[in-house]
Amino acid sequence: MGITRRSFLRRAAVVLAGVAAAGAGWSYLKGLAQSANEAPDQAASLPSAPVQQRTPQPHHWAFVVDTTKCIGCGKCVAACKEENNVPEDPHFNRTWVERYVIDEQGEAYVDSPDAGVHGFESWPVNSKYQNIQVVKSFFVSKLCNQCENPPCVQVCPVGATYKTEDGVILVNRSRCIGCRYCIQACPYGARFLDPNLRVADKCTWCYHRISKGMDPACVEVCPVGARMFGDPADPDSAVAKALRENRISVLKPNLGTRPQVFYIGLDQEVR
Amino acid sequence: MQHLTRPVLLLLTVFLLLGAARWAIPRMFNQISFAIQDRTVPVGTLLGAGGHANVPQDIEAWKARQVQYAGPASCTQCHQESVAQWKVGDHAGVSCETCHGVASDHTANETPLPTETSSALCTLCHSTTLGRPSSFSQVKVHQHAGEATCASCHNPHNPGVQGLPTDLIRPKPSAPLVQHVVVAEANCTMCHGQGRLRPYPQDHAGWQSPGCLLCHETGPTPTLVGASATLGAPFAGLVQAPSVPHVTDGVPSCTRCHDSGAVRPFPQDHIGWSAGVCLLCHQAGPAPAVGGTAVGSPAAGGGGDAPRGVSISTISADGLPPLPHTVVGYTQCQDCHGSDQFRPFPSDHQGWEITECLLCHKSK
Repeated sequence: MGITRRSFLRRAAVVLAGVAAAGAGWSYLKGLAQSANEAPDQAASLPSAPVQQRTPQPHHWAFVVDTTKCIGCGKCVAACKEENNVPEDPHFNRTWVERYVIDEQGEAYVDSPDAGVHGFESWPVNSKYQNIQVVKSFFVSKLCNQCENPPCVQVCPVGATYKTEDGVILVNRSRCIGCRYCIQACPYGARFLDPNLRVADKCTWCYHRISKGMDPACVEVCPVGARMFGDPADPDSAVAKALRENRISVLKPNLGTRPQVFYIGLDQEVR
Repeated sequence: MQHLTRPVLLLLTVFLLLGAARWAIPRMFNQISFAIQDRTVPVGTLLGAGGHANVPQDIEAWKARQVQYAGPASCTQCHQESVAQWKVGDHAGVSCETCHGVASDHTANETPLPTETSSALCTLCHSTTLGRPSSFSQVKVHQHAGEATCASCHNPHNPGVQGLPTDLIRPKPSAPLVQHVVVAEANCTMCHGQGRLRPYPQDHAGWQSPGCLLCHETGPTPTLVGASATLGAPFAGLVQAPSVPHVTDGVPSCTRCHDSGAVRPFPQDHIGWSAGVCLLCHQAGPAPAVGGTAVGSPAAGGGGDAPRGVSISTISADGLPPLPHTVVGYTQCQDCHGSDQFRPFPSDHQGWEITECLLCHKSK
């Protein structure tokens, strides 16, 4: 009986620590091996087409939505799903389109059938408005506002979500534990829990595209130019021009989140 | 030994329970998982160790994701014909992949990219829908086309009227008739404006001189200049425009005197006019020289001079003062008469060169 309770506990602690260290080390090595395997594949499969190169100096991106142009075709929503492997399920979206309908009494109706991914033209979608005297109606597309003061980053208990130098909020998928605190914290409903990866997901402004000098996919496919992306510091960019020449507002300015998605022609009904 | 077995058994039980939970929980709550199904959560992460240490690595991972939408620049390399049609049409602002779909696989590996041809693709944008800006082109599809597909008439790359076969262009019954003969080469928007059409020109801003005679008939006496006569004919009598009270032959520019924008019936001042314009209105005086006390003809034997203004002298039918002297040898009328508030004769001699004295003052 050479083992006392004290020495057993000591040895057990050492063994447990050893196992934990080995486990952490193994997962780290596995991660390294994975990234080493994936990187060349992705580089090889990039399109060979020349992409318009933005100037290499540091940027601080901004996004402009012109609600006076949007036609509610939903191409942006579909393109986002395609580009970013967002689940087809219409409950999970990085961007979506809302339609506001205001009647004679000033009552506002808002709908976003399947997040707008199939457009708004079908009869079932419109039948509810047939007996309403519509005074005005318009579309507003929504996406992550990439706030200057992001509440989601503040609340993340494991530091998995962070803001990049150029102003984009990203989620580190290997760190996210899927606690949904950030989803609760976002006042714009821009986050969701990816049902397959089980991590928080959100719009990245197509970080892989903008860092290659391309436009985000939703901007690329918008047929009417209702979505604009760029660096306001560049006076020739579409966003700088739009911000300069239009009456601009942001969503929920009173919350102090300082959104970097700016809206043209936003109505007071839009929240 | 008894002291050892108890904690060991306890530990084993705990491990077994953990394993069972790990297996069971994701299956029990398939949609709301604890995120422990597919990934190992490193102990260090749970403890907060490391913090943002791996952010740069994660940014690179995000950057490295594969691009799906290749961008229109990659299409132009092969599809020149379609691109040429697309560039001049109403869809020029619409990216290729908006309709054709994700093309990066197609551009990289030349895998076929099937084209969607159903009208559903078109109606997604162009069927009349609550919420669309009224200025956006939209139709009630059945009324517009019946059972026909969009592509049976419209070329998707150039879908507007200019891309339609001419036999398919139908006048809209609600559109007002053109009130005059349509001149083949005439540009409607020149008179009726672009964007919001106006029934007749409200102002003359941006018009070039030849356009004036489309509406304004020329004055009583001589003939019109070439093409203007034929162009003017269709509009004669249909447009309430005052006729020109003078000959237009040889007049280089109507707006020179009558201004553009709000046209003024006759020139109110002489600002910005050069000497050549003076004689368009002012008749040269009887030769050799008349008028003032000491005014003399600069040219010897003034009777022989043919004043330059003669050919267009009929313009001054509206009682403009004839010049009291001949104009031969004079080049700059404003030198004496001023260019702004016109003065009938030089009121002082400031700034004049000595050589100019003898233009008026005779030597003994």
